[in-house]
Amino acid sequence: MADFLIQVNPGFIIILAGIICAFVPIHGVRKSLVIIAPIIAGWMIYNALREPLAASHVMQVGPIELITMNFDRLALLWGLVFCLAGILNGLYAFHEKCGLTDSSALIYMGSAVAGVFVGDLIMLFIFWELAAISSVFLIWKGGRKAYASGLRYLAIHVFSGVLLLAGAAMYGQANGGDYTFGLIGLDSPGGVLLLVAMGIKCGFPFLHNWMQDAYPKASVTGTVILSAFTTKLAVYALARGFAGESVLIYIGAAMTVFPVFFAVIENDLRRVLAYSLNNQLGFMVCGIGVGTTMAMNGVAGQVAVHVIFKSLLFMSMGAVLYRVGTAKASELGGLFRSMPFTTVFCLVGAASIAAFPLFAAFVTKAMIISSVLYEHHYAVVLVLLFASAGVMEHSGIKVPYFAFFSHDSGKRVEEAPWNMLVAMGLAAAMCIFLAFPVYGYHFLYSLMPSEVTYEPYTGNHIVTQFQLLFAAMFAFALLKRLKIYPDERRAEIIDFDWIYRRLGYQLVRWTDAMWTRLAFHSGRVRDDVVKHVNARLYHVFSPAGTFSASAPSGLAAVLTGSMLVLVLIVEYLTRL
Amino acid sequence: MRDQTDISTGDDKIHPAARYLMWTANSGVVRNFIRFALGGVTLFFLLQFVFPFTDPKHMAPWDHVPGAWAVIGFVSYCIVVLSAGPLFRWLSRPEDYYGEGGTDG
Repeated sequence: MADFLIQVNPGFIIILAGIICAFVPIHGVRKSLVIIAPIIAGWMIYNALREPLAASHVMQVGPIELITMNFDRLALLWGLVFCLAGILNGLYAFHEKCGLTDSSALIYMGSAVAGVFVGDLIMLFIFWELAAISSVFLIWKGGRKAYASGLRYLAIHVFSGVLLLAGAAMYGQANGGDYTFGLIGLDSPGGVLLLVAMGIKCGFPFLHNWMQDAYPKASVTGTVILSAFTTKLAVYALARGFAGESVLIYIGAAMTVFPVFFAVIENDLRRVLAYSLNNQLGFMVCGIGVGTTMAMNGVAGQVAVHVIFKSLLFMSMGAVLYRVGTAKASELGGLFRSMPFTTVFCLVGAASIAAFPLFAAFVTKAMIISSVLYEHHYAVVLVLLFASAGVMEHSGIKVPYFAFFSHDSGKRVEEAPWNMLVAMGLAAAMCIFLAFPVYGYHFLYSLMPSEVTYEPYTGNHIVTQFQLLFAAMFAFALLKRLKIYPDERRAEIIDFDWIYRRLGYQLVRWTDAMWTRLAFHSGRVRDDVVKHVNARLYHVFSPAGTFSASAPSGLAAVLTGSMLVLVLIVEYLTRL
Repeated sequence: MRDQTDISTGDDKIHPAARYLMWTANSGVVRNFIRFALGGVTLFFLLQFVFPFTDPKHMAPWDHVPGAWAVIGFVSYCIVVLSAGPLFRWLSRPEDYYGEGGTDG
């Protein structure tokens, strides 16, 4: 039994649970499935870790070998952290009585896990698309306002899948029908298409807008689930296919910087977190671009802790939205009086993302920055440090400050439901445990793709990191004291999606209006022309017409002749 | 989707556990936060002399300058925040600009 299970992709179990969930009307049973399925999948991954060589399965479909299970050290951490995120999400959404959400969340989660453990590009495409299609329901659960965002999300992700399939086909063709998902590189057109497909899902600059568009509009629980899987599956695909591609260093650096400027002026705190997510992905992409052992370990570690602390931050803002009815910074403030536990958990998440010593990102982000430094990309290191200060601004200070402290908005609400608190508490505990100097970070490092020699708790690392963070805090306090720090104001901040949401939309509307107008005017001209041509034809070919005067066969003769010419032309062309 | 029960504005609904955090609303604490942050910067600037970089092969050019990370943090933070004003004027539009409603479910 165990030998059989070890060859089954753990994601399949979660997807199966999701399908069963769709037909189960009992809330308790569904919720049990949502929590138990990722636990079973996690156990399967743990089993595979004990016998990695046996954990593979190949299925022959026609001439193509589909690798449905391919276990290795790179996939390990992604698989485990996806299962952990699934358990946390199940707990967080325990109060929500919605079969559609439960089912789609499980299928989405299962697709992400399955995508990590498949071994060829065709199977990756299948789960890439399944993840997109199943996750859109979590956005639409956000209500009518989320409908258009969901459609855009679906269109963009399906397009990403189409690019992935096209890239896979070209890549496979160029490699003699070998679709194995390994190091791809950018030497072939197929590789470039695959990179763009992954870049869309990963939030590359100018391809990122679906994230800030859809995530803040999804349901309270939906945003938390969405934040964990889609982008990290893309990071995994990049890590497997494009490690060491230096262009990713610069793309990643750009990804760390531009969201910082949007996050500082954004009023919706869930959208701030979506920009923050984009910024964190930049660090990972940068590390993949470096591609050294240390960088890839850093990327894997950063993915693991990021899934946890970003979920935690989204959970805390979700709890605020759930209780207060808004996540707009301009409407919040002083909520620590009503939601003290949520406040503390949010602060742990903020400290973790800002990479305070003893908190999650401290032991992983430094590995990425150090690996960039060791390759002597000093300008990129400066950019990453700038972005780190930016992280401190938008996620370390802005989110907790405007939600829970700042001025007292006077709103008094209930603390978050028990299940949300349990989920946030577990995530907060993980954030601390995984960076803890005794056993904690060693455990995380033991799961990384390669052996780790990096030591995070050195004197100068702690000192310089505290310097950066305290200086950022001092700048915040000084700018507040000088009344330069901007107040939060309600507004829609336009981003690159303005191109298709406004300009493109207006262009289509203008084209439609012009076409209608042109059709109206051209209709009259067309009618006149047709009428005139008909009259002329009648005068020429009718029994009383010009042709009939000398050739009685008239119109029939001309038509027969024309058909003959046409047949001759077709015959000639087919023989070429 | 949400449960906005009992959004009141009185102090009768303050959570019992919140009393452990009430110090954060103390005006003295808020006023003196800047001193705490400055103290932290000073402390870790001095500690850099105790824990200097030891591996010259793995040092950035600015790592030779004591306090460089603090300067980077301060300047970067100021650039981000000071850019907010012009960026907001450039990029902000009315909330229903796209005609799809806001983001709050």
